Amino acid sequence: MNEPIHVTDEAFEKTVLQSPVPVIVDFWAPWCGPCRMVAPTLDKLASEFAGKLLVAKVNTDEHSQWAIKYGVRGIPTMLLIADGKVVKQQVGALPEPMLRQLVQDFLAQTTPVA
Amino acid sequence: MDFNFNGHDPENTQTAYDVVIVGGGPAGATAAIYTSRAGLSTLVIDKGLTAGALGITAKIANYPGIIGEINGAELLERMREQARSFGARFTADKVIGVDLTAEEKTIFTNAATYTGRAVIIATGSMGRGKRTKGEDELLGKGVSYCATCDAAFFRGQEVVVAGNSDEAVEEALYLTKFVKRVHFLSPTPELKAPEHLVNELMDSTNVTYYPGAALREITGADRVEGVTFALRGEAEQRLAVSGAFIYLQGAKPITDFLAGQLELSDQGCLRVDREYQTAIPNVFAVGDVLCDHIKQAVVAAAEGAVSGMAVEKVLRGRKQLVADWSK
Repeated sequence: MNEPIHVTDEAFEKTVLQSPVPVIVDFWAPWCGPCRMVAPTLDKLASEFAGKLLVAKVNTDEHSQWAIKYGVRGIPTMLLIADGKVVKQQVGALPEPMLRQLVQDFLAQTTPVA
Repeated sequence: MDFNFNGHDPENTQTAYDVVIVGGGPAGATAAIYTSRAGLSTLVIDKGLTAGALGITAKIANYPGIIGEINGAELLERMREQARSFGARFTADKVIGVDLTAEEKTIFTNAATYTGRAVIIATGSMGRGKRTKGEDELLGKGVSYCATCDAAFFRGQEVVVAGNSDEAVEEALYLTKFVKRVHFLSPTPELKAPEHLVNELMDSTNVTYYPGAALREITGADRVEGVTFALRGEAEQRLAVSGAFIYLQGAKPITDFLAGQLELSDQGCLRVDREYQTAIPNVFAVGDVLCDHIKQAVVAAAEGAVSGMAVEKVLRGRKQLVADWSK
């Protein structure tokens, strides 16, 4: 996928936790200003790291179960998940260079060296 | 959205401007007078009349041309009216982020996204001061600075709002729609907000008001579980809450929304040249947000005027500032 995919509560386990590649899950809502701010960056990252990173978005207005499970108390909250486990959590928006760095560090950490 | 920030103009759908000014105090309002008089489409984004230093000043007696005492908010409103009379638009909102890297700068607010060919930062220095114990650790785990972002997560729960500005009151009013109860802890006995807002807060059935409450600590293991505070001359008390929305003002320049796009000195100060331009072309900074600046309204207004003229110069591709003389 070279763009973010929208994930429902029902599909979360299969799509995110059982994903063969590392995932960045963005919990967002339509009325959330900072969420709007990171959306273009997430689009870019999905395209740039297609095949290596899955960018998954969960609209917490419509799908709140997994947000509640992870104790999400503010949005955007981005969870960096590999092999079904949360490796890192980012609460709040980040400007593009910093979010990109976060993702690059995450991929370096989680992608097995051939 | 079903809330209406005081002053948010639902008729105004324009999002692209020549100049976007962040902060509508004397520096921002004066810059807006100059840029709008020069025929540049101008938007001023401001948190509220009493969110800044001039707005909360009860009496000002040394502003040139104003004999006798005038209330700070009244003087500021006059400056804004003047800017509006030349076509400047004001919107009551909070800037949560910017992208200054592209030629057209993007400004993200709670309610909308705007673009400007030039940006003037006039956000003042009533930024968050000393952190409350527990504030940093529990940020995002119940501690929030943005009710519009996070209110939905506290449906049916009890939360604290700490502050005394109109921003704090508006955020508290927004929260009342979601939460079971807002415990409003004001560090001062009186709120520094317009009367109609204060009345609305006091009339809300799910707000408990604590005047003169000093917030001492936000407690919780890995999420907010409570706060401790003390009323003047009384012993410390505890409130069990799951959220703490903090709007306490200190004396730091407000630059957090820049998220590192502009370099700050060790003291957290922005660097500008003689015409108040920062390291990024077409981005200016004026007023109390500058550390070297003398904190007086007339000085802020003067800097706003110079930056307004400098913006006009750069956007019109000129080499020299043109003084704005009425004919």
